[in-house]
Amino acid sequence: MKKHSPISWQQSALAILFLAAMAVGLALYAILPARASSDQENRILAQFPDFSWEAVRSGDFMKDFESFANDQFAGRDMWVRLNAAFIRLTGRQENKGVYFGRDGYLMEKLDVRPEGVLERNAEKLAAMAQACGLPVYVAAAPTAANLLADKLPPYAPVADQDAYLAQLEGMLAGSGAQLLSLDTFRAHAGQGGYFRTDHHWNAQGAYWAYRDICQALGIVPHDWEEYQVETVSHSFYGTLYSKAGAWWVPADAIQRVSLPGQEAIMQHLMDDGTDHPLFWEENLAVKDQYTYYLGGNHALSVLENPQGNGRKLLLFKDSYAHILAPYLASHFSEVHLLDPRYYKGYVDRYAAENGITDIVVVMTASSLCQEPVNMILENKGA
Amino acid sequence: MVFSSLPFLFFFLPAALGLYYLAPRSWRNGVLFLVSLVFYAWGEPVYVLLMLFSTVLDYTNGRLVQRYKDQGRLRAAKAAVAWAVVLNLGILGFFKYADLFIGTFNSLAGTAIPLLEIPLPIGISFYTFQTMSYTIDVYRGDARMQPNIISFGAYVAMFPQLIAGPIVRYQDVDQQMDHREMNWELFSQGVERFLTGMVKKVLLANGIGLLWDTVAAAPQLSMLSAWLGILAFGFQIYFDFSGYSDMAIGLGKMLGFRLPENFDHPYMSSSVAVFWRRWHMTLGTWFREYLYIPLGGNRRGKARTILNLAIVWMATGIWHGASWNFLLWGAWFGLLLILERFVWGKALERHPAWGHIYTLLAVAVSWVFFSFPSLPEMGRYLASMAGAGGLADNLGLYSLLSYGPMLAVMALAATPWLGQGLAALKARGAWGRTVVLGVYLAASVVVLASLVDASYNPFLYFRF
Repeated sequence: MKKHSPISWQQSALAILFLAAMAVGLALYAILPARASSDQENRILAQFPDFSWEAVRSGDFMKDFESFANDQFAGRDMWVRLNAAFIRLTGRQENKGVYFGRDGYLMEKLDVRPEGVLERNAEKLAAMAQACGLPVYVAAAPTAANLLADKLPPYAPVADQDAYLAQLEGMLAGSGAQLLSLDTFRAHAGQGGYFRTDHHWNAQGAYWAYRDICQALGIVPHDWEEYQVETVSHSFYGTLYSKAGAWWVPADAIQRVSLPGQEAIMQHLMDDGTDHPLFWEENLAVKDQYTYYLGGNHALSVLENPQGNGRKLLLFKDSYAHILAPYLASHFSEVHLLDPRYYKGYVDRYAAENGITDIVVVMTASSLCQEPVNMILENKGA
Repeated sequence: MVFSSLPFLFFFLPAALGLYYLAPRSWRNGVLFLVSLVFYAWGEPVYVLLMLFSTVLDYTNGRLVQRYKDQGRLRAAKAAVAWAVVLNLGILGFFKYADLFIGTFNSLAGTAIPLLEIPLPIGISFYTFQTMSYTIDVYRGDARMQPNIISFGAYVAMFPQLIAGPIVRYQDVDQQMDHREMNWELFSQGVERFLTGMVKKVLLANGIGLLWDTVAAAPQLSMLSAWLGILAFGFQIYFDFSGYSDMAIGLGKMLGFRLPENFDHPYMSSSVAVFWRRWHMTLGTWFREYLYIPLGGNRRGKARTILNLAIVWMATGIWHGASWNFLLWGAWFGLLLILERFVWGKALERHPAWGHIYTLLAVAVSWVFFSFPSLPEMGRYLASMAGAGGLADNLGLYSLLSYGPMLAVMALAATPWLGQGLAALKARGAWGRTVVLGVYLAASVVVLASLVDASYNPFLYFRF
């Protein structure tokens, strides 16, 4: 036996704690009930995978088991926050593609544009104008990182979204579709036009975009002063907050903007035939409070205004339109919100059958540049 | 399965350690073999059969070699060794390099032979080298034949070093396979070593890997971005690989094994020769013992030494992956080693500071060869490093601010000083040891947070 000093208690303690941590971790997997979803991360969590020899042979069982082990780890939300704090403390300015900006702003990094997507989307928009026989006005909501340069971390590289949009404008030139420049929105966006913890524009930002759309449609917009503005929540933590785990950022506010004296406009959901007010009070209690506006994503819904101007607007849209549509609904008799991610019917036939008079596309510029728009037309033109 | 994952830490390891220590001593090699097969099958449910085949094959070859030697039939023994080497290289060649040769043949001869598209079995480059060492060691009398196939299987499949080394030559563990010391002191040292490796892999390597990925994907690079990128890659691969080796050595200790060291602060070297004595040391030893010296080493004159170095370093290069850029990478080091031996080695010894700078530059350039599969991509990157894309851009300035603190910590962690500091603290008495304990505990908690968040956890050795 070689001589050595006795092991220090500290060295033993480290090994004992290591063994204990493994045992406790394993035990907690067994004891704690599996969570179905995470409110903080706003997603469904993986469950213990079904066992089959085929799944083992293909390796799917092991992959699914790893997802299960990650998603169901005891105190997951706390660990995610701790990791975000560590990233921040070591000076890094981003987590999972979200910049930690100045003044509590979280901002999505813009991805590089995949080849050909912009071209395809431009063709689709032009085809829609032709098939419907109506001009199509495209309001492409710029990503916050593109407009709020002063809120980005120092020197943070951002892809030039305006250059992509200029290309889109060029591709649409001469067709029935036209890209709106959203000058009012762009001029004011820096004065609080976006949520800080969410990728959407807020009620104020959507109002400026509404003014730009009104100008294109030949409608006189209401002045901001005409509205009654109420803050209905001070506790909104949006999707960027969830993604980045940036718990130190203060919450956003949710605002209810309404015209005093206006008769209530109702939202009719086509999927289940139910009617709802424009603002879903009950959704202030859920994690994604942005669904306060029109209740979140639906394939098709119609806003009906008995005091409207007789025109019927088709909003071909993603979630950026939810907060914007109520402003437009105060003018139009009907606003049809059609979400191409969920709506599987012919768009032109829908427009014809419902007597649509105006068409506006409201989508985030980054999806127009990066994701193929899903649109089916009955009349393929010419 | 990788060590830096929750299934390993909270399911596999407690089960493996529990079974291992509950089993009687004489069963422990069997338990180790079995759990190692499960460990391997987790990532390679089909190729585990290939590894078993390889195990049986080399076990049999070992017996053959020993029997011929005992009978005094040395030529037959030599033939058996040659047969074993050919078989092992054949397996490695087929599963790892078949498509490289077919693709190259196609482009040279203008043919269109379809690629086999066989997925690479994880760790095959490591375990075929280990099993080859066994038959050769037995032949040379450096190790005894292992009569028990379970013990031999435990050596081949031993999960701590199975996937990414260290490459354990049979003679390193010959005695330990059947007689090893297992005690609490060794176990607790193992835990500390394992956690050290975990911190290197998860907090340092994963933390900086994102910077390299961003730079490598950028269409245009300034000088600043290109240098930060290659610095990030150099740190990522070092902390990833040496962290993995630390974890393997730590796990080995927990099981009673003393596995060979694999890294010794390579970025502190003042020549490329010294760098390669400190970087992936077990691979260098393997090539020296089983290729360079059998070729005659440096004992057959200058011309033959140059040829031998060239052969060994091309082989080292292509071992790292089935792509010609790895051959270039190896050739680059071979060239520098030849030049150091015959031209400027003495000058480097006289000026170690300049030697250090020269070594770091040479290694940085080598990482460009290592990272990009094609010559035009390498050329563009090297041009950016030389300033062809301007001095600085937003990506570079942002990365410098965002990753500067991490890079500084990594530079410190690449020196021996951090380890020496912790050792000095421990030597100062009880409070110093308590501080070190606190550091390990805090770091482990952050490691766990990073693993649970699973933001970024690549594994660089799957193609080796």
